[in-house]
Amino acid sequence: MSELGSAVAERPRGAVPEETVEAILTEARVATSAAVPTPVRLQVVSVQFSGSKVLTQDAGNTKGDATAGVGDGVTTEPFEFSWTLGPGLHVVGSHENLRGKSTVLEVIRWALRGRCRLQADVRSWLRHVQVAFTVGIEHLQVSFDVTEGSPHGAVLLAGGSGPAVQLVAFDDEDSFVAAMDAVMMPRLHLQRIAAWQSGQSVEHTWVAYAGALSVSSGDGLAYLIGDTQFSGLPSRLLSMFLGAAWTAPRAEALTASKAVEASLTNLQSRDDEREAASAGRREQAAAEVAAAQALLDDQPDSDGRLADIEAAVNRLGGVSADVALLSGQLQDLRAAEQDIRRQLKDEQARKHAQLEDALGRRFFNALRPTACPRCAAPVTEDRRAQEQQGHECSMCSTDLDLEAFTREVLVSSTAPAAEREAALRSATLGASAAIAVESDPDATEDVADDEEGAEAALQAALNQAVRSTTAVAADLREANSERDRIMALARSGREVAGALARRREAELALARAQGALDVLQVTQTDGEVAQREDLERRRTVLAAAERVTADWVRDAQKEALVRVSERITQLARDFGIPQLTSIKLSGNATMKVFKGGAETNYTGCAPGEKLRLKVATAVALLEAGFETQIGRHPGLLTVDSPGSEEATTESLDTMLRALGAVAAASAGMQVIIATTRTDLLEELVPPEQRRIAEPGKYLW
Amino acid sequence: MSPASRVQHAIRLLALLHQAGEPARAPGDPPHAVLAVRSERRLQALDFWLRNPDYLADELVTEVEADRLGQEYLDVAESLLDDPEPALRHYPMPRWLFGAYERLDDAFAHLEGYGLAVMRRTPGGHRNQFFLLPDGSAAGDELAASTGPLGWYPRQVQLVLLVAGTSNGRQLKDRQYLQAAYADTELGSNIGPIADRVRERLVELRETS
Repeated sequence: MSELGSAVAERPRGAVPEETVEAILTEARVATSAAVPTPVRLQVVSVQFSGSKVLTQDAGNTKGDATAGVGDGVTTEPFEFSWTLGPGLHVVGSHENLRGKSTVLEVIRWALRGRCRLQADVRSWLRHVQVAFTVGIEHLQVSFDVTEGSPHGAVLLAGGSGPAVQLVAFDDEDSFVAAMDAVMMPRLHLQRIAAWQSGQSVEHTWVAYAGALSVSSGDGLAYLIGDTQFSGLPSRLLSMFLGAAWTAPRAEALTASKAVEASLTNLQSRDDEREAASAGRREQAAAEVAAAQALLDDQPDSDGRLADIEAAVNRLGGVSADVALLSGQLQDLRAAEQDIRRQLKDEQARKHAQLEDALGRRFFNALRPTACPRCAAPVTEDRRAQEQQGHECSMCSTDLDLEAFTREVLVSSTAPAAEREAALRSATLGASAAIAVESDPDATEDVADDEEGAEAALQAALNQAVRSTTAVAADLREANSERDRIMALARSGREVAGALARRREAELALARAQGALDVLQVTQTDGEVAQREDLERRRTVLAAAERVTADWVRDAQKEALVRVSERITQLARDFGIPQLTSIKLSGNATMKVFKGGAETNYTGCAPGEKLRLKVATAVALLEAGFETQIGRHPGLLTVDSPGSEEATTESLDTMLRALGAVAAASAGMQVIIATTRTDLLEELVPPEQRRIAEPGKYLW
Repeated sequence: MSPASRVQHAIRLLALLHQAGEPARAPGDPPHAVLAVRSERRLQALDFWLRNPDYLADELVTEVEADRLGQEYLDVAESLLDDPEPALRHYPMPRWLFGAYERLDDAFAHLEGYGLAVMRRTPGGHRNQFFLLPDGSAAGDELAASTGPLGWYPRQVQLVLLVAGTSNGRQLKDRQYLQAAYADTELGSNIGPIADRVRERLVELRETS
């Protein structure tokens, strides 16, 4: 487990397992250990350039030996400059401005960085440039032609005895920048300074470093350190130069964190876009769902009714069979009832006939027979007497039935049995009953007690039959009305089936609309969810790594910053800001300036003060790197034209003297200054380390 | 349906003679004869209506239809069809060449034996005439006064006479021939009931009147 990995895994503790932390840091190329390489020194060995000046007559070129004309009023003048340098302070100077001293510095810087800051006219004059550097123990030679301002050449590695080896070639400024980057970064053991800008990771590498090795007046004073402004770049340069061990990992963590953040933002905005894209269609789908639901709600729920109908229609066969059965039963019962009714009626008629017969006999018996209806022979008194005593019919002298006679019934002993029975029946009526029967039907009971049972049984049977008939008739009516009801249902079933079909259709439409809506619901796939979770986990880890390393860098820098601030204060006073009380350099490369009892900052100072402060800072950082042997300052500093600001000659001398002292303090250091202050040069700088144009003359 | 007894037949004949007879004043009529029915066919026809209440009801409906009787006789006709009393006295008659006919010798002999009535042939010997004697008239009065089952016959005879009027035997038989069921009956068979048809006529008549 690495030092950084362990620390990150602690905050927040256990949020992400250590193994995962390590994996994330490695994958994000965040160095997890703070192995600070020993700084590698960089020095300019020689500078050579040549070309042709293009001068107009009116330009007041005082040099009289212009030989080649290029047109009316225009002359060309070949030039060549060559200077060999060593360690220590070097000065290129002239008594006046615009004598070419800045060109020397800018040519060196162009060859160093690949980027050209020469003025357009000078740049167009150049034809060939060759600058040699020592980088560590290696000798590098940057050699290129300039065609219409565009560089075309190569970086060569000079071997000890053999011919030079071309490391990389370039044919325009961009490839020149890339070539120098590729050559310098590994050789100087510089770590890439990652920064985040405009949504993509940018590595401001050698160009940014090299910018910090130069101080130029004018626009070059915009920033305290370097000449490029990107997010947090000066503070990182500061950290790098001050040798804080965790500067690079911190920058890497911050950059990786921002990359992850950007990925998350992209993910979110992709989701947002997808959401926005589908929102319209989803709204429409939701409206369709609502419409389908409304349509469905309008459909009557016929399910139950249709089920009723189906069940009823299924019963139709049974009910029809019931109807047929009951009809048959009823017919039989009615026939039986009719039969019983007829039997009863016959019985009643028979009994009535017997009653009438008996009554008729009594009616006639009360009369006295007068003559024979056949022969008209009169019925005499003798014969009547003989009937009473001799038991012979007074009309026909036939013997009478004695038993009947004792009951006052006259019937022949030879009369048919039925006749005798009828005659005897009339006797049972009795005298009183004969009258009572006139109005009392009950009297008939006396006539035929023995036959009463038959009528009663028939009556009972009839009652039973009527009850059965009534019951079956009621059942039949019920069955018929049930059948009618079923038939009506069956007829209505067709309508209901239609309604049901419409309802099914509406249900289907609703399901389809719901399905379409469901599809439009934005849901993240498992992969997307996993991706998001992975990114969030990485963000957590990288943000923690950034905080951890930031803390460490801050702690490490705190002391160094205090020392450097003191040194800058001292240098700046020497450089000619006597009223300066102190400055305070912060870890984010901002500077508080206390002078004359007031507090301001770097950008709030006058240009001359800025120049001094910037040079003082560069020198202090350069010294600090050399002191600690940790900071990765390559030991080269170029300072251009301090005199162009409103500095006094005294202060410029002071600064020159101070720079000389700094350069002398360390063997590996090289400071190259372009200046118009030449008075002290012979005293301060050995002849081989100075190139001075005579008054009124040009350096090249 | 068992045929009516000879005694019942005699009672009917007594009631018919007593109420349908005309005064017996013609030359050659038996002495002491009070009333006379001079046609057996008329007597048979009257007896047919007396014994078949459904045919009588049919005639009543016809009479109401012809506006010869009032609407109230429709109720009478209905009661003839539906009341139990007439049904108990329904004795169908067989149909012979001259219509409904049943020998009445035995029954009439019963009346003759008690000296209530006599039957005489017309001088030409072609027709039987029936005479009610004074004792028969008294017996008829007694029967008419009866409120018992036998008293029903004199009352029913009044309805029969209301329908028959003074029509002679042939006229009455012609009318009875018009009653379809009666006409369709095979010779020797009992004349069938027409109660259902009469009920229909009753309903129709009530609906249209």
